[in-house]
Amino acid sequence: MSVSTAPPGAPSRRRSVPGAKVAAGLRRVARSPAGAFGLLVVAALLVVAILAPVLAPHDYAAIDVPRRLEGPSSDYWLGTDHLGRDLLSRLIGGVRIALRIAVPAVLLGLAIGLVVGLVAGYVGRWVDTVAVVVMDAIQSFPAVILALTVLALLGGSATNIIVVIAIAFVPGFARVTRAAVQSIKQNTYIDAERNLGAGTARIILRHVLPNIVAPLLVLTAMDLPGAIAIESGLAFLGLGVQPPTPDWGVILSDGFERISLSPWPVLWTCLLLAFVTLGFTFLGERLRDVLDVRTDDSPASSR
Amino acid sequence: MMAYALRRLAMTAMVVLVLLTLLAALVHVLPGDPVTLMLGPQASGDLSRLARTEMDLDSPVHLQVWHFIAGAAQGDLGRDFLTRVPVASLIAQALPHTLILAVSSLVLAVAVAIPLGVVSAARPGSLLDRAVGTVSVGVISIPSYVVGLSLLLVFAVWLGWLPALGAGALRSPIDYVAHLLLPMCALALIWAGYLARIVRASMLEVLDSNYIRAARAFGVHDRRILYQLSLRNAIVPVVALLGVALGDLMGSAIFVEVIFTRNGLGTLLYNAIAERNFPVVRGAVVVIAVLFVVANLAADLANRLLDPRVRADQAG
Repeated sequence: MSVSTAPPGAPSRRRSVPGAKVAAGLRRVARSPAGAFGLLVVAALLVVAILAPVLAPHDYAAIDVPRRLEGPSSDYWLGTDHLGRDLLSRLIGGVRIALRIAVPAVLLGLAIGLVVGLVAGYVGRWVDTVAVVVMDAIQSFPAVILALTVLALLGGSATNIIVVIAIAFVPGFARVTRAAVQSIKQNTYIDAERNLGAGTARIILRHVLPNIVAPLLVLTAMDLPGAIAIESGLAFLGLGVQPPTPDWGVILSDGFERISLSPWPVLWTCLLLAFVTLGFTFLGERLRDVLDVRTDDSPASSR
Repeated sequence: MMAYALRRLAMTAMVVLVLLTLLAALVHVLPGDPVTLMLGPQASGDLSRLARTEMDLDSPVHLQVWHFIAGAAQGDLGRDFLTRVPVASLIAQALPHTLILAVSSLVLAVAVAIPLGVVSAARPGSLLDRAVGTVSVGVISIPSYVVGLSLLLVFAVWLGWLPALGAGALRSPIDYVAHLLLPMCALALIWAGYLARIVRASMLEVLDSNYIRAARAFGVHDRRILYQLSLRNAIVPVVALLGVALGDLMGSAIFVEVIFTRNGLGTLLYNAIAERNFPVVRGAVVVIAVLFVVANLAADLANRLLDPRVRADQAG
């Protein structure tokens, strides 16, 4: 559609192309150093996840016992672990596992939280009260403790870990959604729409959802490092995916047991985890400023 | 105030009830059999039957929930599945260490956060303000075990300044404090960053109020304005957060306790999970969750006592 066909003075009905909007948004995010750093880390993480087998200099499971617990060398750039496996390749392999657990976990939490928040906010009355009490009860567990309890009974398969982490994130998403629904519901234009015969589905799709996209996006970016931290933490405590998968938490706990023999596994993994979580958090912070939303970002909400 | 406290108390009791119910019913909600998980698939029929009776798995689910809640109310959390020691006494031994760790971390976090927040708010946009802002966002996101392991690596393994392992004995205070320092710092860092941000934000708000402007006009000294007149009001949101913080610190303590091999609720839970000792897991989780809820309640009530404005706000 071309703009010149519109009569002069008439409001242009041309919709901005979503792609261009996103690109403009990303440029604004990248304008601050923290935002640029966040974008860079997240982009690098995605590239490494996709190209992991090409980028890894060695097979992450290849054992070279005579050269175990070595420091950085030309063969093994970051050194080796207690079985002589290449640390760099294992950390690269770990990117995939971290994302494969964290991303579905946060998305699942988002989906459930969205539904709970919509229903609680829209229906109100006792449904709302029940939802609030249950969400409070979930949040009264520190996320890690909740995950530990359930996994202790279930054993740690990838699906279980995803579900358990997702549960911890449901209340955050539900809260944001519920609050948005409640405030939008009070507007007179909603009454007007309803009187015109608009159904619940239309009101939710046209009025509620567009208003909560921004806060939910920010919350997602903020929750991802939390999910990665919980996943690696569970693996560190021995409740993660089973070896020989190169989970960051497993590399950490293997390294921790031999920390006086070789600091390298712990050192690199700590640095990497710090970079990754910082990247996502800075990106989330910047997104929040750009999109101008308020969220609760207390450490307790993501841990 | 009284009505509010009662309402808040009733809500807390409800959340605790829901928690206990969920924990008691958890075994049945989840697929898989806890007895098989604990004893392995080859366990004899007699042994499994004994275990089932011991863990009260043969009564109807609603009765199990009732037994568990009634027991918990009387301080009976069941027995350790392997040693048959009452879970409550295991927890009583572990809890002081975790409480000391969590409370001291919180005190340290507050002690660091208040001056940082005040100094940042005094000159918003200055280099110092931006540095504090960036660092505090940074430390919020870094997992506590990464901080703990890094501290362990630097101060215990490389420099050898502080002991790495154990909690020390309570009988020799100096030894105990030396063992406490690293875990305490590891836990405090995250909340120090977050609380500094809260202090900064609420200081900015207070500094913009009329009574501060009046004080400035009267020529009150800057330091007195910042630390006496403003801080008293700016500190209120921090008090409201202390409950959440304490609960969260108890949760993160599990990593720090495992890393520094301290005794405590965290290590108790960790070991119980490793040996699939379900009654101990359940007991430890109940205690952590209840402490979290109660800490929240206490902070909420303290907040209202401290700040008449909140009281007036929610009076209706």
